[in-house]
Amino acid sequence: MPSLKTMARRERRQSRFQGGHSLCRGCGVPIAVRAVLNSIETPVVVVNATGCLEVATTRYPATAWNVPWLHVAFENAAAAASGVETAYRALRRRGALPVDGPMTFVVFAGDGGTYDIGLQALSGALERGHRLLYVCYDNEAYMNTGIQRSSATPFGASTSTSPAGLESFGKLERRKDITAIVVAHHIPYVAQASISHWQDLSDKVARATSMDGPAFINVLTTCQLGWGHEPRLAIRIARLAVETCFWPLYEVVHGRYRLTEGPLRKLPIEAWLRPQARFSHLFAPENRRWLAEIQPQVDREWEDLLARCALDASASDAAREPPP
Amino acid sequence: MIEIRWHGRGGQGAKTVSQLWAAALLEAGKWVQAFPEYGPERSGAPVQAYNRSDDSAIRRRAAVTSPDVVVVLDPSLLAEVDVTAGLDPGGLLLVNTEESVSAVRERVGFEGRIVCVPGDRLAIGAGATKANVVVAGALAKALGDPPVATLKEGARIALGGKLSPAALATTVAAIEAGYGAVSAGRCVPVSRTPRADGPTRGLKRYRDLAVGAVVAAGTAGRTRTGGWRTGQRPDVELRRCINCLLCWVYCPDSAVELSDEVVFVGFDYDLCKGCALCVEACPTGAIAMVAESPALRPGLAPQGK
Ligand code: SF4
Ligand code: SF4
Repeated sequence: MPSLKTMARRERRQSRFQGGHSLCRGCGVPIAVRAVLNSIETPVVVVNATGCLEVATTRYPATAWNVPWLHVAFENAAAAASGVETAYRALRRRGALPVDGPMTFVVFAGDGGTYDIGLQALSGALERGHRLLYVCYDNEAYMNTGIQRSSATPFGASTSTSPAGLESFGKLERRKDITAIVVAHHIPYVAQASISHWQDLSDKVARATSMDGPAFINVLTTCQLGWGHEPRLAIRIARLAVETCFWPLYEVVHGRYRLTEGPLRKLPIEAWLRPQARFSHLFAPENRRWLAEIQPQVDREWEDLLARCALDASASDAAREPPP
Repeated sequence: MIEIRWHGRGGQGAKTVSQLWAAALLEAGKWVQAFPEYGPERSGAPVQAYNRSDDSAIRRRAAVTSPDVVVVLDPSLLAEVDVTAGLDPGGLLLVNTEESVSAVRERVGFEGRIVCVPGDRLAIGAGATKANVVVAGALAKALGDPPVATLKEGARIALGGKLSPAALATTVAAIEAGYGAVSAGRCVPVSRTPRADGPTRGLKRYRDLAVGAVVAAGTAGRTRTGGWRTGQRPDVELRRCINCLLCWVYCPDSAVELSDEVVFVGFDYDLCKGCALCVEACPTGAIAMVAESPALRPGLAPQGK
């Protein structure tokens, strides 16, 4: 599993993603991108969906990417990556590659490009079994176009299309469980990670890229603008998401759920909500009843996840047991 | 036709002030345009907005490349962006700065009329948080048009729906502060030199444009983002550094510099945006944010060249 020194050496040798991009001060997205790319040993090809990352790293005529990089559209990053991966296999079979060797195909797409707009292309790529690593940087709304709600936006969050105000409350619907949807495609590797836990994320990338088939990692990624927090608090807030069990760190290997890092103590959900302006209306006296709904939602999901992990752990124990 | 180009940083209200300006001139019976440069206008990034105004319909829709007036909302941009690009020598450069006209003239090498206004100070005095409307007030005075009453009406039209009555009153006070801070001037001569004023004046032809689609890899590092900092930069006391590399892994801007032996050696201030994540990440407290003068901010190579 990569250590920070290994990752740093890799970046020193070839910086796959550079500074000088136009992502916001204190943005969580480049933290995820560097952690992912520096955890991969082989050469990589990156396919990027439309979003903050794509727009702000490719300000013509400059690019922050120092690897083969492709952008086609918002909805089809997974389809474009499928094509690139297929072309690579075909050329390799014919011996037509200038340099033969293993290569890793990585898709970076935001929650808008994954949960909503790119879902069909993603589903197709997973079902066809392309060998690629799909990384969703999930900052829980359409940040690039001005903080509109997506199906990743959590219950209660105020966005420009689910505003909190006199006549409205914030998002009334719950977040879509994209990980479960991806798991339902029976691919070898699915995981949820956070920028706050670099080692966990890096280990997951290493496991994901060792699989013979599609892998998907959903990385919680802060957005100081859309979430409304001081830039310097990005990592602390991402960590609170894990510590409150709003964003558990787990993986699903060949259908088996496993918690990769449990919180030492489970903090109340308010610890994660409070530092973010998008949730501030929840603390107004008249909204207390909405706030009170959130903790049971989180508890329920967390307990379901624990039960699922326990079940799968005992199933694999049973499988290992010698027949009587 | 008068063409204005506003230079600011994301969050300083360049777009808003261009809309306010257009609303005022519309009120005065002009044909107007107001629009920002579309791009990743991230908080702190250099941004531009444009105005056109005329007595008859305006056919041009492109970005303003040969402005009559350039307004700079943040003095640090003088060293980062070629603000006077295409500015007519008979035109006006208005800068929000504490510096003198001669100091600005020396920095930008512009021969024409320069007006400086200490917008940040005046904004604070008026109780406002942004200098943009102060600068608009100063611009109206420096151009002799529109009258301050019309500009205030523009503020009511453009911002009335968004601001509370108290915030609107502050905005109006800020406009007045700017208006009172500079000496009166006259309108830039619209037709100072006869020129082919078709819709394509100053624009490149398609054959002259660089070929897009495929760009050279790894070129963003030449774009200096150090100017995004707002008066604070990280500083390290290397004696306390245990080389855990946590600042390196959490820096969003690849501004933590390592030696070949992957030992932390310092910061790349050309890239660092001053987010202070490294300060938060450091377990030994080796990193702290320290004040820096905007004029001394590194990261000063022109953008996009
Ligand atoms: S202040 Fe932010 S951008 Fe600058 S070195 Fe620290 S983490 Fe990087
Ligand atoms: S986080 Fe602190 S101790 Fe660790 S490498 Fe950076 S400066 Fe040194």
